[in-house]
Parts: sequence; C-alpha cells; structure tokens
Amino acid sequence: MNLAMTINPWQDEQVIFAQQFSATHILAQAVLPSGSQGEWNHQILSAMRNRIEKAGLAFAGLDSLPIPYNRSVLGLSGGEKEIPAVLAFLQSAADAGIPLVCYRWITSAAVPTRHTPIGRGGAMVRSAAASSSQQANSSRDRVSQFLEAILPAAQKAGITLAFSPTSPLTHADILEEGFPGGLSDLMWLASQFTAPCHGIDLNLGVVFDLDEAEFDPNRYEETLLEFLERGKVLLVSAANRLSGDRQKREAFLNEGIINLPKIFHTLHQRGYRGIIRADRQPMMNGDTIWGHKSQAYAVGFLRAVLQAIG
Amino acid sequence: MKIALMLGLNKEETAFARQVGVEHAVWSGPDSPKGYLGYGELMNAVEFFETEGLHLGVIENVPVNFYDKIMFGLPGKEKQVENMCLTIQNMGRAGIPVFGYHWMALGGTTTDMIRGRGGALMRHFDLEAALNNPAPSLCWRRSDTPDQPIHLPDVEVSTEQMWDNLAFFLEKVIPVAEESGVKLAAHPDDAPFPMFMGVARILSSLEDFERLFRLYPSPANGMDFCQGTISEMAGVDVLEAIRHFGSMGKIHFAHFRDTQGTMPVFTEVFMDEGDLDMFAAIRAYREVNYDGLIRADHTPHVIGDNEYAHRGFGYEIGYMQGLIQAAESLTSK
Repeated sequence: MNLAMTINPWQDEQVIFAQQFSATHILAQAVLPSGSQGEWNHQILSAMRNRIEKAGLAFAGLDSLPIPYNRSVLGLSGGEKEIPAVLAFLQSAADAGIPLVCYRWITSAAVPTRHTPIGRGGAMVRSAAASSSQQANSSRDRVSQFLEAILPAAQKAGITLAFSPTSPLTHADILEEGFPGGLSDLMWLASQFTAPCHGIDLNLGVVFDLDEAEFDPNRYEETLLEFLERGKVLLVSAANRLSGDRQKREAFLNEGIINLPKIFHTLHQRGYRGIIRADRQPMMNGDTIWGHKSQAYAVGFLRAVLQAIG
Repeated sequence: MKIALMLGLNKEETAFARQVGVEHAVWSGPDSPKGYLGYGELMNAVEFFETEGLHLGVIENVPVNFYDKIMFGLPGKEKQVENMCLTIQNMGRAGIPVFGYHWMALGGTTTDMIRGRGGALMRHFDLEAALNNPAPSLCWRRSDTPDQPIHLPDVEVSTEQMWDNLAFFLEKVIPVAEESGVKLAAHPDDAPFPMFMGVARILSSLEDFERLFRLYPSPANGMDFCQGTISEMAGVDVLEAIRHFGSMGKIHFAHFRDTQGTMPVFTEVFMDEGDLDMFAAIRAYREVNYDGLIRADHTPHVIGDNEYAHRGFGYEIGYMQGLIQAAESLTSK
C-alpha cells in the first residue's frame, strides 16, 4: 500500500511538503494554475502530471472532476449537454497519462457543514445528528444516466473513474436528496457498474457516517471487505469518527471509534495494494486553511501504520 | 509507555500538545538566577501544565551553569552540588518524578545541517570535521551562527577525572533523589565519542552506562535512553539495548528519533527513514513493560514550519501513535 497526499499540484510549497512528509503518490486537486485564463486541455494536464513526476512523486490521479455537471446531478433539463465537455476532459486527461479521476455526486449548492471547537484539545470539527439512511432512488436514476453516458468513453480512453462519496457530516445539500443516502446506495453503485474503469474511493469516515446502525467493528470491517472483494476499491481515504448522544463527529486518526491499524492490516491481508490518503482532518489551532499541521500529523500516523504492516 | 513533548510554559505549545493527543509534558531548559529550581517555580510549572490538561513528568536540561563546575571538577562544585540537591528535593515535593541530565561538559556536538528528504534540513555529524574545526562544532544545533563566541573553561579533564567528578555528583545527589522519590535519567553523549578538546565524554557507549550503574547502584540511578544517540553508536544493537536496560529497570525516560549512519558520520533523519526498525523498537519497549515517558526528539526542519516546529513534531507524534496503536492492535506482528 502506498501513501498518497492530495495537494495543489501548482504550489511548490505543497509539493515539497508532500516529499518531506513521505508521500509517494499524489492525488492532485483539479485546479488550474494561478493566473490561468485558459480552459482544461491536454497541455495543462500534462504539465500538471510532469511537475509532480519531476518531483519524484507518482501521479495517481485527480481528486475531482472539474467540469460542471450540476444539471445531471439535479436531473434538470440540459443535463445531456454537459456530457460532451465531461467526455472531452476525460479524453484530455487520458491523453496526458492521467490514470484516475475522482468524482462526487454533489452540486455547487451543497455547503460544508460548520466547524465547532468540540474536538480533542478544542480542535475544530464537523458533526451531525446520526440520521437514518434512505435509499436515494431518484438520484440512482440520475447517477445511472450519467455513468452510462461516460463510462464507455472512459473505458475506451483508458481512464478510470472513482466515486468519492460525500458525507452528511461534512456537507448539506439544500437542493437535493443526498447520494449516497446510505450504505445501500454505495453498495448499489459498486455492484451496478461492473466495468473495470469504475470503482469507489473507500472513505473510511463516510462508510461509518452512512451506516445508521450502532457501530459494530466486525460488521464495519465486513462492509469494507465486501467493496474490496467486488474489486471496486480504487483508493482508500483515511478518517476517523467519534459518536455519542446521537451525534457523529470527526476525530483525529488515532482517537476515533475505528481501529485503523487493524483495518489497514485486514485490507492488506486481503490483497489491497493501492493508495491510502488522509481525508479531511480536524482543524488545529494556528493551522493554515489547507491544514499543514493536521495533515503532517495524519500522514505521520499513516506512515507508521503502513510500515508496521510491512 | 506514554508519549510526551518537550514544552515551555506557553499556551500555544500546550494547545498543540492537547490536540495531537499528548498528555505528558517534559519541561526542558528551565532557568533560575538562584542556580537551582525553587519549589515555587516548580509548582508554578506543575500547575500551569495541569491547568492546560497535561502532566509534567520530567525536568530536563537544567542550564549547564547549574553544574559545570562539578563536571569540570572546579572550585565551587560543592555549592553547585548543594544546589542540584535542592532542585531534586524541590522536584520531589512538587511531584515531578524524573530528572533528566547529561554529562557533556562541553555540550552536544554537531557539524552541519544538510538537505535531506524533500530538502528538509537535518543535523549531520562528521567526526573528522569536528576534530579539525572543533569550536563551531560546539554550537549545538546552531550551525547558522558558527561564529558565536563560546566561553570554555581553560581546563582539560581526563576520562578517569571525569568519572571521579561524576562519582562526586552521584554520591551527593542520589541519596537525595532516593529520599525525594525522584529518578535520575542520564543522557548519553551526543555525538558519542570519548574525548573532545581535551575534555572526556564518559557516557559515549553502552559499556559506559554499565559503569554508571555500577558506580552508584540505586533504583534512582538510571538513564535517558536517547534512542537517536544510541543509534549513532557504531556496532550497537539498539533493540537489544532497549531490552537489556529496560529489563534492568534502568530506562527512566526515553527520546525517540532515528539516524542514518553511525559514528564517525551520521545524519538525523525523519523517524520513518532511519536505519532502525522503529516498529520493532516500540515492541521492544513494550516487551520490557516500559511505562515511562517517551519523548519525540529532534525533528528535521521542514517547509513553512513555525518556531515550535509544529509540522515536524505533528508528523513525529502521529508516527509514534501509529506505531504504538499498531503494536497494540496487531498482536500477530
């Protein structure tokens, strides 16, 4: 398993940070270079990959799909007009040698939930009521429509798409029923789209958030393994959670309810050899917006666990 | 074992410690014009850390001018040793259980800061360079100010004289430590080599520590197992050393870091890239049921860090917690 970081690839400072803190792979933020007037194209994507590789890091892919597809998500008319731009982007990415693009099912109307200083030592964390999950039927239709329109072209281009689930803990979408609305939606996605060019970003925090039942470590592990055994885990995002009083909240990697060393050990034993990155972490005092302190701390934890597993 | 950080009486530092899940503080470099630490000063520190949600477990690195005359065997050593006894008595009254000290009369030595992984600045030591250009090598971690004047007593101390001076110290201090419920933790000489500028460095090998413990047998006479310094010693099996001294109950405190290379040339590196299997080290401490503090030691200088090196230490603390949690969770490993 390899340690990855999500950084702005155009910022030297973040590239150096990743090098120093032992990342070997980069899942780049899909942002244009500062001052760029242009649009996404093959040259920009190649330049992005090249500058990461010149720094001695492996370019694992893009953290998001930067082409708008709000209408597709919302099921509005005109959604089909978004598809050509998405396909053109994926072709450019493939031409630039980018192997993986993550995408979310969230609109620009979704707002990040508020941070409050209830984390360890007063760290700022996000929390939400432990709500009951719901099957997002209408969203499933829209997801299907979207993926059916793009996956054949992605497969032909040789690029893989990874669904990054959004958590109700971290985002509230005021316009739309969320997808995934529960674990069953995530499992549906993994079983419905069997093409090798599609899989999921196994976010350990979001899988916890989506489960309405009381936490059971064995069941949680079985769920993760089910995704793995379907061959659908393209990357793992590490996060931890605490729960109580019908609330779930973000936690630092070493303090939560999820035993991460045990989970990583199990994933490794069952054959997972992909990348692991630290997801969003609690915000620490005096940290940057990007979270240099908290990322350094999280990556140190992950590095140790990966070394211990061997 | 309990992870600790070296902290000052500063809320920015203590907030960081709490957020990264550290509950134990090491107060390093406390000073006092009196030449010893008074009960009031120590209680202030204890209460400050308690208020900040931390337990003060070790006082480390009192100023060298608290006991330099003892190390050099100079007039005035009697007064200094009285003062050292006072500090230890006061620590006992204040409930601080471990006194960390070193016996490097000239202090630590280093020669360079070099660029390591990702361009991080790392401490580097080259014995030949130190011997050829000794004075700048004494600027401990101050290679950016090589011309800083250094005051040195105009005196040489042979190895046996230095052992006599240490014996004088222990004979006075250990009975007081025993009575006060304080344990002494001697730090190895960093870099570990036996003589510099005519002044002996007598805690530069594991055999030296065996001699230290024979010199004054007492449960209070122990070591600060500075794992980085032990790793710098050529030909030493660090894991075996942890098991050996740990099973003797002689590790009263530990520093956690790693190096690449051993004497005469080595570099301090990130914890995860040194020569030692750090997971095996954590398991060795657990095997001997080490239950004292283990402090994140020096960190390389990383990009954009603040004056407290919170990025560097954040990485180290996360790394240490990851190893410990893995050791607890992966029983088959």
